[in-house]
Amino acid sequence: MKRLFSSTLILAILVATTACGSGGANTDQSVSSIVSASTSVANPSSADSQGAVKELTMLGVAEGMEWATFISQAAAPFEQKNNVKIIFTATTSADFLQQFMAMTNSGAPLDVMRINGQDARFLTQSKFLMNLKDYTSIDTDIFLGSALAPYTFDDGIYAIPFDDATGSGLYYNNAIFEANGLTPPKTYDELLAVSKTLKSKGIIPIAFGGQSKYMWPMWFFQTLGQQCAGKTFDFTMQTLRGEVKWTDAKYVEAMRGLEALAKADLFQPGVNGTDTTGGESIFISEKAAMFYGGTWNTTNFVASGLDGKLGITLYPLIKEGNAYYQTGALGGTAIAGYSKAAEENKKMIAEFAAFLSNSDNTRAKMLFQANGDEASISGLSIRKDVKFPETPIMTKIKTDILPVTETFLDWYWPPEITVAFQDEIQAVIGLKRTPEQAMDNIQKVFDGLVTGGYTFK
Amino acid sequence: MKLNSRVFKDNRDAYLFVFPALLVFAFFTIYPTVSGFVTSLYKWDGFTEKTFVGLNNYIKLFQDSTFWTAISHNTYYAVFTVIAKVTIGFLTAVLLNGKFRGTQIYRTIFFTPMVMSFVAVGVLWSWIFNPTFGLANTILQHIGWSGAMPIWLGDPKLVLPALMFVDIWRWSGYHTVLYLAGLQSISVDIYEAAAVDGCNGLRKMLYITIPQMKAVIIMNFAICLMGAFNLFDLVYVTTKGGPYGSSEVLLTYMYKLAFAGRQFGYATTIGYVNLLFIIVVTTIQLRAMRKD
Repeated sequence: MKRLFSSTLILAILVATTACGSGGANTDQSVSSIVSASTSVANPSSADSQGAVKELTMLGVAEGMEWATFISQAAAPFEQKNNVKIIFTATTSADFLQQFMAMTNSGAPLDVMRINGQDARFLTQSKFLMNLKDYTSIDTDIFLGSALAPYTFDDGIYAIPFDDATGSGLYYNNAIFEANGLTPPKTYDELLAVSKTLKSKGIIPIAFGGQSKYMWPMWFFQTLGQQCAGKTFDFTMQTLRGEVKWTDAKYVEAMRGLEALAKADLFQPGVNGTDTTGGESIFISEKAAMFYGGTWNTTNFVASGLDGKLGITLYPLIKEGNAYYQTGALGGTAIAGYSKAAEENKKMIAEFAAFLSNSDNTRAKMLFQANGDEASISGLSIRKDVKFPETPIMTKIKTDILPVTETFLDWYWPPEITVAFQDEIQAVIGLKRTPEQAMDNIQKVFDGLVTGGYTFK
Repeated sequence: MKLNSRVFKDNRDAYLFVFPALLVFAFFTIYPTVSGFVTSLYKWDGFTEKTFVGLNNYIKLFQDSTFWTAISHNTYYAVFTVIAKVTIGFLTAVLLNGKFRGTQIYRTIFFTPMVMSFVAVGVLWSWIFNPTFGLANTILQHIGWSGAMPIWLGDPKLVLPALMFVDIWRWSGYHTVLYLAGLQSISVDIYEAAAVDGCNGLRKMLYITIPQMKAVIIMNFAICLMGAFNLFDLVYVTTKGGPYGSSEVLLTYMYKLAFAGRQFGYATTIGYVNLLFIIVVTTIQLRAMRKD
């Protein structure tokens, strides 16, 4: 009797453990992931008459938990028309590749993705993305400038941009400048002069979150791009093919341009000990007069009370003879199809990618990000058929910043080079390494990659 | 054979009760450990086909200067945090073992940092150590600090000591609780007998408390040491190994290799070497406890 009871108890525990361990196939609640949404079919009678409802699984970079709701709403008309259910799993930008890896290695279903622009090259070259042009027609003329370029390889289109146009810029506090009789600097010498006045008034010239080292390469893109005068992309391609060394004079000079900022003491004390949020806070609290960032900072600055005081200008020319250059992404995130999805689903996947990035949904996305307030929209759509009333900042971005914007260079660099740049720039800013030493270290990293079989395609 | 089968028969229920836990252990610990070792024998980017490289990853690892730098950081971290946590935990437990008003409240206060999530702890201390707004520098200003304000998480010389401080703050309570349990298991009769023989407080501590607590002290020592070499969360949330690698530890380097560098095979090698080290430490600890 005792043994029967013991055995029954053990069985009960096993059954209970198994039941607790199994969850819905569509939930994904790791520390870094956000709740997934399972959208429902809005037309049950259609499902009944046409048989089983098809499911498409989407893994997407999301800006917050509300994204699951947004995608659910945006996808609803497509679901109704095509008798399909979109199962959406959201993840943060930094964790996208990890989540993608986990899904593909575990054999979990995957059809559609919202990918980061910087991952497009790797995913395409590793043959994880399908050529959308093979399955649907894409109006390429509807996009601004080179918005499609990061997703176009060998005439194929592997993702459709679904993000605002972004660019970098030097934000400044207009009120501080006017109160001190200053104008936004256009050159490095003007920057030094402006900073001298600001420091005499106890104001930090430039705030930045140097501890968040992933942002440092953006500064480098600026100083390098100014020297290359519109040929930064070509120069980068030559370097990645091994035709130009990372120790080339242009690279060293670009690094020296950053060292000069640190030597002139333009940042807040302890810039490498302050993270991005800390850097933004210093600017928002008006302890600093300038902040170097991207158009993605605008909404936060405006919402935090700098509205009316916020200005944006081009990164100052480091040397005479340099050309104005800004770094950014006309594309941002994009909608792509997984190449290993079922062949019979690929046409629907391509059509969904085109649908989700259409003008109505792009417009809805921009409104969603501005909490429904058109006046708060700070981004510029990369679609020519989506326009909003422009704020002065948006006009400045459109007329001055975007025309001289080239895609972030780390979208082409191997990830090891990007990480090396992050560390080396931090060291140069901290005056712990010379520009020559920094570029020499980066060259060594690249040499290691080449020895390990790296070739740039 | 007959004896074994009788032993099994007599203990069958016990084996049956332990079996589910063993199954979970096998599936979630043994299988990933073996699988991890197998992965370390390959070159793999996490997505495409694996390429067998044998022990090349291990050879490469021992020639990797960043690996040795990370180990030196872990060792430096271990020396100070182990001594501090073992000592502070013990002394706090001795104090809290007394009978006075509010012991429960004080125990709760000491234990609270341990229950906070590592992300919350990291964000909290990032702000406390913020050079411009942070509480740490504000306090220094108020007490009349005359030198340059420390850049806690941005200065290569200060970043590890700052992180050690946070670690000690967070985990001392945990060790206090372990010590308290040990202290309360010491028979009061021993102290009474010592008192009769004229032992004062210090002699009781040296000749009764510490010897009786030897096993607990060794256990805490081992836990601290393992924690120092398993350090990841605090560094990842605050500095990500910066500035310029000065707080890079084994597991942040492993993470960077795997997820930024897409070198999963090579990164797994670090995890495995770390595992071997921890096995050695635990074996030494168990032997020391058995001798006792």
